[in-house]
Amino acid sequence: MSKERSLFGLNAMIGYILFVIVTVIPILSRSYLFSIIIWIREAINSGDSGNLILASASANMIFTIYNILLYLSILLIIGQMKSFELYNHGKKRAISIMLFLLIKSIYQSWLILPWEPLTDLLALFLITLLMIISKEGISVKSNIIVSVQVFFAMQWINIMPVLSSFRIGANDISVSIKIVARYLESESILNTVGIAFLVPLLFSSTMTSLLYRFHHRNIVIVEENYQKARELENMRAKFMENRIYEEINALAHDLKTPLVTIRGLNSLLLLSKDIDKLSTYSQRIESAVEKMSEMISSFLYGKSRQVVDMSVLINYIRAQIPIEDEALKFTIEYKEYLPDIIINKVRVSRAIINLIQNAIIAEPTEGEKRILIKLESEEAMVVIKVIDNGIGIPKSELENIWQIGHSTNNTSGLGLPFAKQIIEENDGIIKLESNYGIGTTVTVKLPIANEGDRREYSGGDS
Amino acid sequence: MRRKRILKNIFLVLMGSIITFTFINWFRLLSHKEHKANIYLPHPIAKEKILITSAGQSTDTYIIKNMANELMLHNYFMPKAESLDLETVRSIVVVVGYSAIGEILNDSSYEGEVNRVNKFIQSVKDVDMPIIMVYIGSRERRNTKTDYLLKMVGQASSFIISTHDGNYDEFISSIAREKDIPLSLVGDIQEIKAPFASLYR
Repeated sequence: MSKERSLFGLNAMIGYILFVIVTVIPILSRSYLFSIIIWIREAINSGDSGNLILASASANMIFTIYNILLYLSILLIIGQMKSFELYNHGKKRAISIMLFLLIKSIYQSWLILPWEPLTDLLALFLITLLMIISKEGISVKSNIIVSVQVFFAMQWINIMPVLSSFRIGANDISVSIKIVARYLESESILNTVGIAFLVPLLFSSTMTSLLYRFHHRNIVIVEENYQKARELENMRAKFMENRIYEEINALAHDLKTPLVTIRGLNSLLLLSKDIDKLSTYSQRIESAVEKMSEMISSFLYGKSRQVVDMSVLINYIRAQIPIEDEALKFTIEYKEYLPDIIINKVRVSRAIINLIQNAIIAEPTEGEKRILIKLESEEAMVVIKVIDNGIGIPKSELENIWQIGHSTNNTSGLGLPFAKQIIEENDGIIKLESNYGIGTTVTVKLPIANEGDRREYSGGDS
Repeated sequence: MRRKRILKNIFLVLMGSIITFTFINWFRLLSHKEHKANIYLPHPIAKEKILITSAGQSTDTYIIKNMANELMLHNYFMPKAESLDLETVRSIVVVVGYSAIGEILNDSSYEGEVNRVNKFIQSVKDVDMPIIMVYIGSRERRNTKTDYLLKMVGQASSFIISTHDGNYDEFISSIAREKDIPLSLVGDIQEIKAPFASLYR
């Protein structure tokens, strides 16, 4: 805020300095104006219209500099004045134009400064129009770039004899130039030179304002995209939060099983009078408590690992499948002996269940939905394949399926990224193959537990 | 959207008008060149050496000086001529046209210029020398200050030469009529040469 204020103060100061320069310029530039008259006289004496063009260019340059300085000083001062704070850009610009014309009319009589009201009005109108097109408001930088071109372009119409009947170019210097051009029969040269400057400069100023407009539009688009990206990020965070709640729910549900066991065994303990059975029940309670502890650890600590018997994993997964659905044919194929794997049991189980749930919700290509879970071992990995006969994923979508929020079936789009993250955290590999209209196969490879793992994480799958 | 359309229409109408009027004006300018000087004197009314001076200090005076040189008319150029300059000359050409910068450049002011011209004309009248008033400033240089000088010089002149566009409102014609002064109106600055030369040869 204070930085903005100091910038405002600086702009106002520059505005006032420019205004002082504008007041001094007509006095300081007198000798320059005299040299223009001398060039005009030279043109008469030598009959060389080149001197006339030189005089025209010099006059146009000095008047352009004067106009720009005055225009900018007014813009800067009005932009910072408190009394104009509540005014919109349009009103500020209208006031600027009126002030510009008023100051020039005063200076014309006071400082004997050649003035072209019609040309200036036309130039200000064009600048306003171009600034409206550019959508830059009263921004100083863009106003300088556009106004330099327009003011210089419009100065050239003052020396075009063809526009004399519109009372354009009625100031002392322009009139002298045009009269000499008539004498030297160089009117067409002046008209051509005028057009040669006017058209490209006006074209260039129009292009500049259009570029500003496109730049402005791009900034708006970038801002919109940034806003959308932020909204998407927030949405993803909310989805992720929901996922965590889902995971907690699943864990709470899973924790109920050992709790039921403990409760049952405890009631047996109360009834039992056999000391041998008491020991057995106690051991089972201990085992159930350990299992609960392990589940909580798995959930709390992502790096926690257990050596898991594949049959336990299969049973765990099977328990999550809605077998009451008649339209769903669910098959698990596996060899009798499969090696143990080393994973975070709760997390990996949730990841695999997610994959199966994806297969369940995929729209079937036939009347009956078939899901096949195939388990096999290869080298140091156990391979789990989830094969479905769903609609599949189009080829164009395959690249995006691992992105958070991307979904082909109106779900949250978190299932696959979540599964991929969990599998990879557990040193596993996940890949997806899909034939649109035929079905999808998700392959998960998980590391086989070696002797070292067994020693370190023994008893995990009980 | 509506505002944009209105702005676009205004811009198109403005550009269309400018282009149309420019073409009309161009053709008008071309047709003007067909005008001919309408007064040729049967015998000269003035003699050399000519004093060419200015009333208003415009650069137009330099054009007439250049023209006189081209016509090999023996002349003496003095933009701010005074009574002392009359000693060696036999006729006066006053080129009228007010120029603010020209006056500052010649270290003068409008009031000072009016006084100088007034005194000078009186001096010329005293020695009974012919004054030829020339106006080539066209419509653009015509304003109250130039008009005042035109009237002042014109009424004391023996002959007036002007371009047609300078007499667009017949102001110069009225001065000539009022004092029964011969007037030559030409379409183009270059055409001044003919009546100007006929004054001396």
